[in-house]
Amino acid sequence: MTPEQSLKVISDAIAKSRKDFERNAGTPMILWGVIVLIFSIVIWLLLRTTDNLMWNFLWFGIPVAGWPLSHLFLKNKEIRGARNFVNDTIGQIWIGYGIFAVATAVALSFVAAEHIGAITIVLLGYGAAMTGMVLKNRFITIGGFITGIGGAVALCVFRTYDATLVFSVASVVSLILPGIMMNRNNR
Amino acid sequence: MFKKLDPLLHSELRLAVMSLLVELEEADFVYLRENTQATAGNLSVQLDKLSVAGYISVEKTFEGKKPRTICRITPVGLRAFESYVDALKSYLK
Repeated sequence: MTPEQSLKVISDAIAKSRKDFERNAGTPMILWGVIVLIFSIVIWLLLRTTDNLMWNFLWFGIPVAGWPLSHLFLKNKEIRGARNFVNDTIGQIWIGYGIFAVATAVALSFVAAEHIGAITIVLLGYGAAMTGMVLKNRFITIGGFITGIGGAVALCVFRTYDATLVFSVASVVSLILPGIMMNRNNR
Repeated sequence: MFKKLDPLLHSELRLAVMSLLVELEEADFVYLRENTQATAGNLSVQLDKLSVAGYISVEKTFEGKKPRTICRITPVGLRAFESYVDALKSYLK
């Protein structure tokens, strides 16, 4: 092998492996974004029409519905036989988000339920920003910061049921749009 | 001055395997075979050579009832790969 051929073997192998993993990298973000979007709109509608705050407990339905759905829809999109550092790290970031979001929501529901939304959205933005940084994707990083900081401020300012819709916007800005963009760029 | 190229890595299939493993946390035999388009027999021999040199670790396990061979690059292998790339650069300057 000449040095040029060696270099080609190395770059071809690395490029092929990256392409395999990047092809559907945005799909989990789209799936979770759509779940959050549907729940936030349904909860907003129920709160507006019934005036019953108990509907806020439906937020816990996001992980309950999300885990089986993601297992069902994403199983065929997984790369079989290999794991890479970037995908593992992103997966761990979002598992961490899920655990902290649920734990914070449960704890705050006893002492300061009105702050659950603001803190959950800061965590959501943090998760999206970290994902963007790991992927070195400026669009996702900025979307994460807008969601975290802007969402928390918006939730503190709008204290009506309409604040629930901040989550709908956040799911689009931090999950759905970056996911669609990632998939499109990697086709 | 040209640096010496590691003869263990200066083979198309072994270099392709090491390049894949540098990028991945782990890869199994089937993934490596599909991505290098090598025959099972040849790949098995080359993996054995890399393993004996300490460049990769090979774990034999089961997925259900099917046997599965998982390969990971070792710190020794990573250093050897980096040195090989450095040596390559001296030829390309």
